[in-house]
Order: sequence, then structure tokens, then C-alpha cells
Amino acid sequence: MGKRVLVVDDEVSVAKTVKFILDAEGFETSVVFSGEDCLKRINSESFDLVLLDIMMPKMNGWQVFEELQKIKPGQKVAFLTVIRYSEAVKEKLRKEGLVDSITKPFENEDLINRVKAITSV
Amino acid sequence: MKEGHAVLLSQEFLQRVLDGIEESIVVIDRDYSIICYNNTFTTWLKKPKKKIIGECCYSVIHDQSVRCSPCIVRETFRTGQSFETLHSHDLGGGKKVYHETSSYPLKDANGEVKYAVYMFKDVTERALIENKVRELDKFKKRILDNAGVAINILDKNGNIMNVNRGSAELFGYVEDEVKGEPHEIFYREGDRDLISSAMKEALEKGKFKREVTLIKKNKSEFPADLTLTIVEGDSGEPAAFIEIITDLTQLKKAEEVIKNQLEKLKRLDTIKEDYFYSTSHEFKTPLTTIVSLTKMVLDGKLGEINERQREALNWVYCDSKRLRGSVQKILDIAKIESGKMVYNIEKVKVGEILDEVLETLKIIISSKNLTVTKSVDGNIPEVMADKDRLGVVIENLVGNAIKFTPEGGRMGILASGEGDNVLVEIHDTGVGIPEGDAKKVFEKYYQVKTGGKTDSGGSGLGLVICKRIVEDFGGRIWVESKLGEGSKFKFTLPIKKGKTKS
Repeated sequence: MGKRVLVVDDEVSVAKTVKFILDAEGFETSVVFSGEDCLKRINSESFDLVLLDIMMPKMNGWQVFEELQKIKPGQKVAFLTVIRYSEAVKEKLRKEGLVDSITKPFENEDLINRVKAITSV
Repeated sequence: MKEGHAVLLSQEFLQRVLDGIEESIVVIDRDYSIICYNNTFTTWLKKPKKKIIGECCYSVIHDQSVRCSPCIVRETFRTGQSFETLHSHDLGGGKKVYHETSSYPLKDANGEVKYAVYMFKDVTERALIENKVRELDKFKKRILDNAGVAINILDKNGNIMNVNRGSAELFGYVEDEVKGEPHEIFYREGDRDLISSAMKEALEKGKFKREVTLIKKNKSEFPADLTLTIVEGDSGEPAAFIEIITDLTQLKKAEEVIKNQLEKLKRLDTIKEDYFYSTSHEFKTPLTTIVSLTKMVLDGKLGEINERQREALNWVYCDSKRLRGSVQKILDIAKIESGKMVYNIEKVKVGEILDEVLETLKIIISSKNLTVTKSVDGNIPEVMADKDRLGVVIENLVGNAIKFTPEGGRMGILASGEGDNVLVEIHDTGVGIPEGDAKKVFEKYYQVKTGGKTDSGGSGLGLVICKRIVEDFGGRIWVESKLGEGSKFKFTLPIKKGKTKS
């Protein structure tokens, strides 16, 4: 069975596109369009990776990330965001439990390679 | 009366007395006929004597057929009084004579005025000089009045000697009204210290200049630029002050208007920028979806497609990528220009980025059958830069090199250490850049004219972005080119942090 990925993005087309790309690579991808829905899904299901947008209405990515840490400590989370973080900041984020930060727009190959790398560890 | 005196008072003797007087004297009866005169008069007249007696005074003296107007002789006959005046007489052709004249009554035993003694002296020469002086004074006044600023002339004690029209108009006084007044009347009650320090400074340094608040006759206050300078007398002692006042009311108002306009523009700018950032997302997100999904279909990951479908989709893919690139460039330049570009400055290996860029462009390089020579010094140090933005710079330059090098041509990429910098060079064998345009290529919207219709294309922003980014890193970018032989784009990046902007 493929690795399970939950994509959280208020932009429906982006979430669906990521699902298309990852499903084609054999991942089992689910999509939700808000931070609140993400927390609900996490309560009842388990995922190998949560791909989390930062700029979302109501709960933003950072708030969702903090809640996830409480509900499921150790849950692998990667940001999927337009914000570019430097390597130094990414290093700091990793220490806080974030495994990666993928910048939008992304190249398909890059997204696939990075999600594969995270979930195969 | 002694006997001898009677002789002395003979008519002959009296005539001699009259002749000795240096003013012309004429005695006139009530018909204005001359009955007696002295030698000075005939000398002045330059006419034979016999035509004078009994002739009318105005015809003899002025060659006129009518009486002068005004005429002091008439006044003497009318009132019995003496009169004096400066009489000017027009000789025609712009010539004038001036007579200092006086008229005295000669009464008979009954006290009736029988004759008038008319005395005059030609003062034309003196009067002309005085006229010149008056004209000069008027001219000086006109200069002062038209100076366009308010000018007060003060004596050495600060009392007003003169004000020009500008000053009178500005302060609302009539010119003569303030003469002799202390110039304190132009200042506010509480500014006595200011006045004394102004006078002191003008005396010590020759000049005092400051922005002050002055008051008008109607007690309203206004901002003004005040200059107080000293005028020295012949022996160098302070003789007078010149107070020059420029009304700043309009200027202050204009400043206020400009300030308000600037604030308004700033607010509009913020609105514009905010709009830009929110719409940037709107532009980029759909394009990301289009590019990603088209690529998936092209790669056959969503099922088999036939060749015609593949070819059509390939065009969709290429052009949506091009569109995405253009949108990104416009957003980048907007961000750079508004100072909102955020750089993550860190140690970067230039060689790695060159490799990454060449990897992403390898398909197009091989499709044009280009030979790329890469020469990167293995020992070059890391540079301080933003990895992603440096990637943008290199991709732009290499992309241009590919675009302008004809099919089957050669390209070169070099990187080497140069003191405190790393030098990166990208050579193409394209059309080159006309002499004189080497600097223009880094200006906004410049596009190389190659003659072809779609040869160059692009937004004309790529090199602008490169220049701004490289300079923000603390480096320098330039081009060396020969028309028809190709171009060498070169830029430097600093090894040490310091000058970089982050």
C-alpha cells in the first residue's frame, strides 16, 4: 500500500494538483481545504506526511502545526508555501519538528523527489 | 537828509546801483509794460536797449504774446504782496530755462500798487543738475520698488528711513507713514531679543539671516525670510541697515500642499503594493496548476495520449511556462523596486547553482544543438548570496545566451576567484549588442533588435532584475560585446558579508 499524504491548502486547484501528481507516483493522497478540517482528519486517521499551506484564512499553517504537535507528537509535517525560507531557517524548523518547506510554485519532479525522500525515512 | 545824499540819490546813481546787482531787474507797470531795467537784464537778454521800454514783459523776456501762467507779477498787483518762485519756461525742442524769480510791490503815496519790481536769475544749469538728481532718486526708488521683495532702509539706530513699495504693500502701510518709526513695528511684541541679536549679528558679521515671524499693520502675523545687512559709510563706520524681507506665506502653503500630496501618494502606493501582492498570488497559482497538470499529462502519468495530442499539449506547456516566467519577472521587479524583496543571504557554492541551472536547461540546450563549455575553478570560495535569487540571475543570463546563440553554436560558462570576489562569466556567440547599448541592456524594457519577429521577445526585465539582485548582493554586472561576434556577460559576487543587503 502507498504512503499516505494529507494535503492542506485553501486553494482547491493547488490541493487537487498535488494530489494528481502524488497519486500518479503511487501515494495515497487526501486533500482538505482548511486547517480545521486537517485537525479533524488527523484525529481519526493517520498519515505519513502532512503537506501544509501557511497562508490560509482562519487558522494559518503555523497554528495548525502547533495543534498537530499537541494532538500527534512526531507527526511529519512539511510546509508547502509561497514563502521562501533560507537554509538556516529551514534547519531551525527541522529542530522544531518540521521536516521540510517546499516553495510554491514547484516543479513536479522536485515535489515528487522531496515527498519521496521524507516518507521513505 | 545831508546835501551830498541828495546827489547820491539821483536817478543816474540809482541806475548804477541797479546795474551792480547780479540779478536781472525789471520794473513793470500795471499794463505789464517795462518802464525800467538794469544792465544784468540786457546782458542776459542780448538785445538792443531801445526795444525794451514800454514793451510787454512777457514778449521781451519770453518772446510770448500772452502773459505767463502763473505770473507772480499779476499776483503782486492783485494782492500787494511779494512773491518768489522757481519759474520754468519751455524754449521748445525739449529745452527749458529755469528762473529763480521774485516780485515786489512799489506803492505810491496812497498805498496803491503802481509798479512791480520783477527780479530773476537764470538757474537753468543748477536746476538741470537738480533734475538729474531727482530723476536718479526716482530711478533708485523704481529699482527698489520693483525688486520683488520688501526692502526697508534703516538708519544706524534701526529707525526707518525708507521702505519700498513691496514693503509697504506687504506690511499694509503707506510709505511715508512709517518713516522715522523704529523698525520694531514690523516685529512681534515678544521678539525684542531677536531684533537686538539681529542688529548685533549684522554689525559684527555684516549680515543676519533667519526665518522669522513678522506682523502687518493689521496685526496679522506671517512667516518671512529676513536678511539684515549693514551699509558702511565712507570711513567704514556703520551708516545704515538694509532689511530684506521675503514673504514665505505662499511657500509654506505650497509646502503644506506638497506634504499632503506626498502622503496621499504614499497611501496610494501602499494600496497599490498591497494589491500587487494579493493579485500576484492570483496570477501565480493558476499557472502553477496549468504547468503541473499539463506536464503530468505530457509525461503519460494520467494515461496514454497520441502524438497530435502530445504536440498540442507541449505548446500549452511551453507557453504557460513562459507566461509563468514573465509574471514572475514582473512581480520580482515590483518587489525589488518597492524594497520589499527579502534576501536570504548565506554561503553559496556558485558551481552548484551553475550545475542546477544547466540541468534545468539541458533539454533546450540539446534541442538547439549547442556546445556549452563550462570552466569552474574547483577552489573558488563560497559567496554570500541568496541561493534562489542567484539561481534566477544565472538562469536569466544562461537563458539569454541560449536564446541568442544560433543553432549548433558555442557557449561558455566560467567562474573564478578574483580577490575578494568571485567572477562569473557567461559567453554566447550570438548577434552581440550594438556599441553604446552595453549599458542600456540593463535598463528597463530594453530589447535587442535582431530583425526577426520573435527572435528575442521577452519582457525586457530579465537583465534589470539581474542587475538589481547582483548589486543587492554587493556585486557588479556588465557586458562586453562585439556586434556579430557575441556577448560576454560578467558579474562579481562578494566572498565576505558586509556590503550585502539582506
